[in-house]
Amino acid sequence: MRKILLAVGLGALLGALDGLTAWFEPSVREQIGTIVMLSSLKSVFAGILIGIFACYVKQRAATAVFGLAIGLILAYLVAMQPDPATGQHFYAQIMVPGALVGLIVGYATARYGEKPAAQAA
Amino acid sequence: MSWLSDDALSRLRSAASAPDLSGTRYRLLGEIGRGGMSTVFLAEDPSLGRRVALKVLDVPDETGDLAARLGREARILARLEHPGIAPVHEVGRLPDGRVYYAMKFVSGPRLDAYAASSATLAERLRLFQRILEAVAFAHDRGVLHRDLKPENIMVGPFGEVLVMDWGLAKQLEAPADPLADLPASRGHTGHGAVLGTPGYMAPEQARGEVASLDVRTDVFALGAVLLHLLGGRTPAPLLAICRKAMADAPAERYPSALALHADVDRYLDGRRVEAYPEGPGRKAARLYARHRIAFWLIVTYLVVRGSLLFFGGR
Repeated sequence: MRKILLAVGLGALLGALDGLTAWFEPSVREQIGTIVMLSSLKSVFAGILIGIFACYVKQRAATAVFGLAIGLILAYLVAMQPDPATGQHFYAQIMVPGALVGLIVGYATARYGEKPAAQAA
Repeated sequence: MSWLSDDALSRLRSAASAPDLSGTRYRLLGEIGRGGMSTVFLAEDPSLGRRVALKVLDVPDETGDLAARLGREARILARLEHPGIAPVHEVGRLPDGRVYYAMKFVSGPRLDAYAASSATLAERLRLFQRILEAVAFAHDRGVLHRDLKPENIMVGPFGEVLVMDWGLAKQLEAPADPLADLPASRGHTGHGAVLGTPGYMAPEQARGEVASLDVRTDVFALGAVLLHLLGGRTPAPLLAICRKAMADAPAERYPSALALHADVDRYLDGRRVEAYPEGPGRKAARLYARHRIAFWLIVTYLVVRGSLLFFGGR
């Protein structure tokens, strides 16, 4: 449960921050609210999957790679939707950071989600 | 007239010092080591099919004091049931009157030999923590070892440790056992007597201030053991831990073996070591070392995200 909560929290935070970077792109600045919300939802969903995976698989590298894959797949689903104004797709701009966010959430969940070692009696 | 060869003399000496185990359940297999007043032999208990170490007095004991001390050591050990302390199986007397006790036989190197091995720093520290746990257990039972040194610590084949030679042990609490008050093996425990091993003895122990000895006396020796175990490649925070444990004034040392354990734990986890004051630079370096991968993942994300914004647009 600890890992799932961490992954979801981290996913929500990083997803929101990733969405906020859209503010630097003037053409989509008006849709920043929707972008942040969708980016956060995507990362929360990724966080749930990564958290569950981390509960069963104790290997740090495996969890990080799983996070990368989930981030990439979910970002691909988002990137499939074309820009309503131009009809253009932004595969690289959405998928590369999305995959990196998944990687970070996966690694951080495995690395920091472990229970602290019991102190010697 | 013919002279005996050195080899023959050695065999004769060995045979002469070998204990007569008739009347005991043990069969002698050989000699393991020799101490100041006793010899440890390897023996077999055929009824249980196990090997044991027999510690036997080998000096004249006209007053019976030494026998009483060996008995006292065995009783202290019997009270300390811990995986890091060799258990005593039996105390008895040989046909020639000498007292012996049988304890667990440990096959493995002593800590001084282990220190010369190629074990990694983390392995050495985890091993040291197991020593601390055994000593802390003894302290919790009110027993001071007073002669902790690498030669008195064995390392088993699976990395287990056994703290040996409790001949100088001191009972801190009011002894329920009449033998517990007897003087220890290498002299009287009254004021002025010096017991222990130079280099591992705390200053108050070296001054013979028996009444002022407490768990911090063993903490000093443990600091010296850690220093020996680390050899010449000691990182600064660990050196600070050793220095704190070996402070001249007991009040400046760790208050217990567990406090020392906790600081070693902090070092192993990449957390701030209590004994090692750190400025912003050292703190940043430690945090970087601890979270290096996360740091580079975030940097990569920022660089990629920045590049995409700058060059690619959304």
